[in-house]
Amino acid sequence: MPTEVAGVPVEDTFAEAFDMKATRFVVTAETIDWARDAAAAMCGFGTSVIACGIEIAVESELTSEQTPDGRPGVAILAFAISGKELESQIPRRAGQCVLTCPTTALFAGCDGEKRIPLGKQLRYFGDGFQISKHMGGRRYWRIPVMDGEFLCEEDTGRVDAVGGGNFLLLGRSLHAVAHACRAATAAIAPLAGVITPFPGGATRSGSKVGSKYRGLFASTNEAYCPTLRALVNQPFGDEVHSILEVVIDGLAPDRIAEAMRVGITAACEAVGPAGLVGVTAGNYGGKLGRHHFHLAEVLQ
Amino acid sequence: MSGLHLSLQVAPTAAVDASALGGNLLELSVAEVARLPLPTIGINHTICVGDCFAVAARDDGRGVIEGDLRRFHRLGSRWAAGELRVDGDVGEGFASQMQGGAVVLRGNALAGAAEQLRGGRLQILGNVAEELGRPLSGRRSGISGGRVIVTGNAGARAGYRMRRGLILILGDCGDAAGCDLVAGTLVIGGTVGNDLGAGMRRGTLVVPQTATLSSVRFSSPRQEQLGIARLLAADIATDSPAIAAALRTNIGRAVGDLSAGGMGEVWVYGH
Repeated sequence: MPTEVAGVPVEDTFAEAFDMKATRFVVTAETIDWARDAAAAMCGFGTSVIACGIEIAVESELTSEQTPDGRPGVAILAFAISGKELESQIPRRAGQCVLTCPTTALFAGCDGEKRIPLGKQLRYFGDGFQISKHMGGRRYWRIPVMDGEFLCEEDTGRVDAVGGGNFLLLGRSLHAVAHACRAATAAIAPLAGVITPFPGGATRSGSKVGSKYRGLFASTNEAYCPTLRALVNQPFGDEVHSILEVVIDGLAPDRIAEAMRVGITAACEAVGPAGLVGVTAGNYGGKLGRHHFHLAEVLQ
Repeated sequence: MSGLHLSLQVAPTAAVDASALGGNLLELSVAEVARLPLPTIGINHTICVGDCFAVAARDDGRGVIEGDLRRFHRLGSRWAAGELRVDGDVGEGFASQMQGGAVVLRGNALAGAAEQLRGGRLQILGNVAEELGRPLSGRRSGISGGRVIVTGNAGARAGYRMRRGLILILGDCGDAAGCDLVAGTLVIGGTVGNDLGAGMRRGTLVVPQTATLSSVRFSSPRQEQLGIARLLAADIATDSPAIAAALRTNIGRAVGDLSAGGMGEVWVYGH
């Protein structure tokens, strides 16, 4: 029996997701505004591993009771194809985006035997004036800067994770699908352990593997571009005018499944069948990623 | 790991090296513990634990030693895992080179308690004599990890040559606290003697406003807000809520020992 949510049909297909490496860290500051600013800089140009190296976004905002130094902050999740890429990207981003941001401090946000360096690399900015402190089994670095000290934990944990959970919203209009998309990402935002790394949590440039041009390993997925309906075969009818894709990275498969359920439900309830023609998901025939999120199952 | 209870029956006539009552003590049977040697210091004579103590098993996995133990030096030496409780005053070098686990002393300790301690949690519910956490004779570094809490007073040169870890002294401290400090953190709750931090190279001394800093050795304390102070406050909040509360407000920070080319720091709370 076909699945429907709020009267919107959901295709019997699955989202194909991949194994990734992930880390979490916490940025605190004198006020939440500074923490947000540092996080915005750190998460910039971090939408897709295709060209950014990592997928990174704010997981949640934290109250002063939830942070190590009793100040407001944000938790950030970052995902990459390899641990080596995380080890390369995180210290560089932390050095340019958090170390530079007034009043901030940087702490580990997850455990894990494998570690991603934070202060372990940034300490050299202290040029010999840096101070190390061991406290509660953790090592911190105090780097003198112009507003006082930049406090930074030695490293943070690295864990196995899943990236590329997704669903596509097939809209009757750009306005309707954009509204549904916002509803979906807003519903996903409070969930722990997941991020939607694209701008606003969604992307319009769903891609296929490869290109007619040499050197490009991803290009537009013409099968899902409504303006090309007269030129290529497409798996939907004329009533679809606009499509957006919500991409989800998570620390575990069950968190992605939960985020898909919450997001699809919110999108469908926001605009109903008058706004959405249907919901589907992106996959590569199940040959590339070992995590398959069947829409009918996640919506149960 | 089985528990053990040692109750002092006959005190030795001279000081003994009790370092056998440490390390892997809880892995031994009652009979094995009773046969452990206690060499008499300065005399070529060795007695056994069973000559002094009534040894019994406990079923709670803890080690408990009780009695007037002032002639027992290096008790709890190299303690590595599990819990040891000592009820009574102890001799020199208590918990020397401790590596892990938890040791609680309900009594006073003579000189050199926590000598070159490397890890674990040592809690002394009493006073300690001079050179808390000193290096072993001939060694360069004192405490190199772990956590030492003294609820009473400490004698001179507490934290001598400390290299890492935390010492928290809730009572008063004698002269030259934190002298020749290499790194680590020494927190003092009561009054502080002369020559605080003499020769310190790095590390952090945390003292109340009443402490006197040598103007030759240290810069004038300057009011600062330090994130690391908030972490230290959280870390010691259970052991000393009062000091933790003081650290959450502004502190004064001085740097030194400048006369020794040091880059250490003294935090003055209540500044």
